[in-house]
Amino acid sequence: MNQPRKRMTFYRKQSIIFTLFAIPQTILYVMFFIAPIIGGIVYSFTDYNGISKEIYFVGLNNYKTVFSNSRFIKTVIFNFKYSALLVICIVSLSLLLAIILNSKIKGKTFFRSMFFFPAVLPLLTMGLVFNSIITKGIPQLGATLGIESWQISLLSRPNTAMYAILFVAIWQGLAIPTVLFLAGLQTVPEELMESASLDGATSWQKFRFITLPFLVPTLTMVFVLTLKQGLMVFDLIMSMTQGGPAGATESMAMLIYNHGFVERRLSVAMAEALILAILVCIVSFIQIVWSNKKRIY
Amino acid sequence: MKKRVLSLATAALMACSLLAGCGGGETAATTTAPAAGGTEAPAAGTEAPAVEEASGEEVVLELYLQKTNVVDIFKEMIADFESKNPGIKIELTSVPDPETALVTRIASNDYPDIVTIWPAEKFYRDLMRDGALMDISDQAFLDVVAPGTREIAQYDGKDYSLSMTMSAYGIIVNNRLLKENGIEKPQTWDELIAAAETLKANGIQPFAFYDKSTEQLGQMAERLIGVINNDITSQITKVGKGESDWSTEAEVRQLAEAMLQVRKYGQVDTLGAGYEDAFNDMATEKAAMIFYGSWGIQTILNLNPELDIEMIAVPNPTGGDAKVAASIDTALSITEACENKEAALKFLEYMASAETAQFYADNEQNPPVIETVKYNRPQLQAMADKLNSGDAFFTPSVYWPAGFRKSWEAPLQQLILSGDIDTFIKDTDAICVEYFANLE
Repeated sequence: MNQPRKRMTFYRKQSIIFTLFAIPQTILYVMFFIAPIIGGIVYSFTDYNGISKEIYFVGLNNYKTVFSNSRFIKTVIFNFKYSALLVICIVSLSLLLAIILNSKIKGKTFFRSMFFFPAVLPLLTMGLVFNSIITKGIPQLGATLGIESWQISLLSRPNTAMYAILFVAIWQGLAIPTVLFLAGLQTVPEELMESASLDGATSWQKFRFITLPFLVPTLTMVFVLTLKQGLMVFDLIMSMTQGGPAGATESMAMLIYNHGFVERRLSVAMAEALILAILVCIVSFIQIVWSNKKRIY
Repeated sequence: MKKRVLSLATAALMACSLLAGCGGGETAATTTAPAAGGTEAPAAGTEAPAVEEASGEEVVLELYLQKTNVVDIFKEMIADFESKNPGIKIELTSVPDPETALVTRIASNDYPDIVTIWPAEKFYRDLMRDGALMDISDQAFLDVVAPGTREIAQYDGKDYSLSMTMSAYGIIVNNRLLKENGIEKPQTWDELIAAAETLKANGIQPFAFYDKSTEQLGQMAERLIGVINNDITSQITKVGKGESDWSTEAEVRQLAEAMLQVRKYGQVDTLGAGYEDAFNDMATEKAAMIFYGSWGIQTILNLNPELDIEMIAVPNPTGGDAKVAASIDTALSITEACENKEAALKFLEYMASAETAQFYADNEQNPPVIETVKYNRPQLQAMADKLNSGDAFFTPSVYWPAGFRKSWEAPLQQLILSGDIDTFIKDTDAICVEYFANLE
């Protein structure tokens, strides 16, 4: 009778210590994360405009406004198209880069640091630099060389503007996934590779059945990070097109900013932000569940 | 080895992100203790309390300057004010994208003491209505403001701000290029097009456009439709309430036709050019004319001080009367949250004094509204004369709900891209309904 009781107190003591350690972090998390989210949810049901002292509850009106707005639907479509392309390009290119940088080539260290370099530049700066290259540099080059199609900036046509932004995002976004994949490649056991070679596996088979399964955790992380980056794209668009031409590159984050701070319809912006957050959650959840089934350890 | 490289790279990355996180946040940290203890401290411990007392009496006011192009001029005036009023210290806050920052601060109840506002705009009128700004109607220094301007800036018959200058919208022209090509300053729309035709024939780019800069493009359309009909807002309201549409009312079609007509005389790819590029074209004398506001003149002159430029009125594309689109440009308000209203009023009084107002008008480009000031900017003399003779109208956007012009920017770019006027009219119909249908 005495024995289990003693054990309980021991466990209780231990759990109290753990709880104590967790408290500061929990308080900060609640204060700076949970509380603002709840505040945002509450405000999204009001007519709050950021400054007025009288706030009224308007029920689901803001959400109705959001879903009946064709501009919002357009940004959702843009976001998904952009994110899909971004994820496909970044995952495939960074994996390829990582495999190349992991092989025995000359100047490996040099190339590794070169490919990492874009990651240390802020997106806004990069946007401004590429903005100048695309709107001034290339058209000027076109004028000098007499190539007419080059004289129209890629950012000034709705059908090309997104790809110009995507290019910059990929150029910058490749660096960190490449490093992550490089790290992931170190976890592939040499002996497995060796025995596979002895069994006569081709390099594709080795990649498909040994390397890839070991990379699934990294793949999941890269996928989620890139997807989040794509769905929440803002700074590149702000510095390169401001959503133009003719609204062709307006993203959800851009619209939320415009509604919240330019038009001062903060409650509508909060409703949009919540919808965006839910979308990101759903997509990430599906993705994580799917890849958890695929992982091997 | 590989792992070491990786861990180094990760460490470098983390360090970088830490640095990035620390980048901002230092601007406002300038404290008001000017080496009080530093020089004298070792000699006299007895003097220390005295110093403390003096700094304790000092009143510190925060001036939130939203006109980021006149920071240096304000710094000079503040230094002068401080030397004349010991005991009052003014801290100047000027941040990029000031209005957004101001909204955020107001939302968290953190008001500056003095703030520059645009008194005709809805946001500031809401602040006046909500009692966030101080009623200064009974201050004697307001009597120097031109009566017409003072009235426009009032809310409900009360004054909440001291207006200093007006801004005008027009066409900035390069006098040298016009003269060399034998062109008189165009007075009518037909003359403007003829001038553009001549310039183009002589190998000079007639206009510099900036259709990539959505906000400036929206502004151009807004001012131009205001020239076509000074009271365009009542027309927009009519359409918004469903009493009419733009295929019946003429103004939007007239605007679209005019916008497309002048773009034949611009850059090859106007949608690829931002307003900085357009300014560059003006400064390097590549282009002869630009539709812009009077606040752009100094920016262009900064790029090339030798330039002989002048602002002329935008002619009416429909051939009718052409008034100048104007708005109040610099106006100072005291917030209700200010704890030292006496000192803040002193500063406003100083700003309204003949000497300061003259200094401000001489350094800032816009036409003054303070009657004691003698205006001497040749680039804007014609505009100032028009404003003073009442040949002006209040720029329409100040009566528009926030977001209306912003929503109009995408259809405007689409119009320039495709030249499809009918779609533009339909889009404008929809936006008018969206923003004006429920407006009281």
